[in-house]
Amino acid sequence: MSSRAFRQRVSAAIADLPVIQAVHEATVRKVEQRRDAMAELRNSEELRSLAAQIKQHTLDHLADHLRQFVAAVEAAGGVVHFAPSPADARAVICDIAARERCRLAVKGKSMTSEEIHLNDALAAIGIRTVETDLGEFIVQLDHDAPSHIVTPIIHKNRRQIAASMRRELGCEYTEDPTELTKIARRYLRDVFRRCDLGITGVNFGIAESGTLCICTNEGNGRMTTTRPRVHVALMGIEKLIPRLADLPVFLKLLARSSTGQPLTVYTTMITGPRRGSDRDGPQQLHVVLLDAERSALLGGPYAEVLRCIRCGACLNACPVYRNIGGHAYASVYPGPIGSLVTPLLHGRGAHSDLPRASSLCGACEAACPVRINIPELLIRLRNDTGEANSWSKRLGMRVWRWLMLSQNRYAWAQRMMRIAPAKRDGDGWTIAGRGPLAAWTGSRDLPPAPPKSFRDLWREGLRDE
Amino acid sequence: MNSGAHSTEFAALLDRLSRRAPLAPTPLPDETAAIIRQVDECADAPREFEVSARRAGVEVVRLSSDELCGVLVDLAKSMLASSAWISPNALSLLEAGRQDLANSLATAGCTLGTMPEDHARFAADLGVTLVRAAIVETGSLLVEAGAGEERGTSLIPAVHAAIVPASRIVPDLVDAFDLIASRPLASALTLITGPSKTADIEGVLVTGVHGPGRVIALIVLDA
Repeated sequence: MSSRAFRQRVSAAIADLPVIQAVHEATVRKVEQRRDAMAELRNSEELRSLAAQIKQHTLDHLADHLRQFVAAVEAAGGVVHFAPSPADARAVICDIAARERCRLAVKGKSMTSEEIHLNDALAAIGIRTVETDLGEFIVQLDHDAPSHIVTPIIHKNRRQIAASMRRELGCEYTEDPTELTKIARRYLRDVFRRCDLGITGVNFGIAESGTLCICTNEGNGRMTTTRPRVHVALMGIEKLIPRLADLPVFLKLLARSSTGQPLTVYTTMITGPRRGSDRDGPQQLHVVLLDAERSALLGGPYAEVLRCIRCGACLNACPVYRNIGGHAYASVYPGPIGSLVTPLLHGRGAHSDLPRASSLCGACEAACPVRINIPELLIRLRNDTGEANSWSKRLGMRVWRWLMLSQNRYAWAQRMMRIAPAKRDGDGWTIAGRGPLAAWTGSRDLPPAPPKSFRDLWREGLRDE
Repeated sequence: MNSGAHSTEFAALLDRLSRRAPLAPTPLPDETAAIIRQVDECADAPREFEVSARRAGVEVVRLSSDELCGVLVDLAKSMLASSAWISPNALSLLEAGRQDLANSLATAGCTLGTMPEDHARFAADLGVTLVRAAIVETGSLLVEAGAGEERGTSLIPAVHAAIVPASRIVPDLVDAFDLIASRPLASALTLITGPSKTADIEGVLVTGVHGPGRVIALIVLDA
């Protein structure tokens, strides 16, 4: 992705006012809900530190925990696969599906499966995959992409959704969210009756017991791990935590950070496939461990991004995300954490602009339940991956420095600012500078110089007041 | 392709990770329960659970064990249920025998299944389970798959009635996990906190997406 492509997408996103307004309202609401939910905890700051420490510990000893996890999953009757790359993960899952003669797959909400573009690969071998999270289901109907890792259709309004459902499902037109949900429920019930393959992500893998923890509100994670005869769980190698007793730490933070709930409606803990005494549940459990560049980050300066539990709090808190929405990032993981993870996992060159899509205000770090120092890592990544600054920017910075180092030159520059020709918007902010200034104001607002400077006011008597 | 966890690729990954381990790795904190715990103990656990369960959107009925059968029949009647799916575990707690309950439900026009075949699972309007634990902190119900309890009973019917013996109410999530760890893990354990819900469409709350739209906790005070 070139700088230019990124800027064009951002400009297009900002221009789409209804979407930006919807994203803005939804994110502001979530920030408030998160704040209230965290305030219910006696010691939210201590809990965040504990969560960060447990995750960092797991990453620092990942080989040991992976070994233990694999042994525990196998002891419970599951099969563990390892996929070094997204292509390997697709091949492993397609292989399982073909061998078990599966025809209809249901998917619980999983960002990792988005990361490996699984649905197309399954379709290519004749397996239909149906997304069962309501938001992802609507995304799939529209051949769209999710724009938020927790609320995938944050960018759609009910009229668009109603039109899509009518077009794709042939149902009556209704804009009522309750009715729309009922229609989707009825449609997906039939799919759940007939499906033979279930694909889920994993929120937390417990190393000591081989347990997979899956959190959902709608029940898609439960249906997907109850109905089909084969369950495939896809997880990044960083998703582990050491002990069952560590899980409550993360459960108490995940839903609060994400949607302001104390817990998601369903917290499902799966240990192996169905047992002899069970009357339902999958007969086979396959766990696919995905590396996809994660191991390359361990032991390096960016390792702590792997602490991320994908709660989405940093997206909601970010003033840039709120104003450009998720699609402008053109990446599975948008927002502040996406601006780190995308270049780090999917190639720095192609996504070198993303770390610059931040004002470094620190709201993301303040919201992060595992205390990832996102602003500092963004700066580091800018320095590591940015192209060399252009000659005009270097010259601009030199001039700026020269002006700032002398009082007279600074005062002269202020006078020039007042008479410089510039296009102003309704609030009087400069929205398009001319000449060399245009490069700067292309993506930034510049406040107009006031009629009188502070020095002028001081000389005219402010000193005596 | 050899993709297993015993492949050379996986061995190479573990080897690479071990070599890259930091010189001063972060220790695993011990004795974390005190930090995690939010609710210490409850003077009146059923009452406090009722408050938090209601907050989570769960309906609550307090009753004694001899009232259980009548309450279930009344519930089936009030929701015009044509088919109830009652887990063997839940049935074992009813004082009335299976036949008595089946007869009473039949007068309300409702058939009783305890281990239904697949088509009947989707036809059931009401699912009744016995919980392993209930949690005051969050108003959650812990259900466990295994002998006498299916994954689907608390998931597929539109209404889930969970029998909560008062003695199984614990203060904090930490206590529930102590319970879970106290015996071999079931293949599926689920914490249920309220009715199935979504806010995917314009942030509007809708209940009953894939799971039950109504969850009713029947707190049995003398059990």
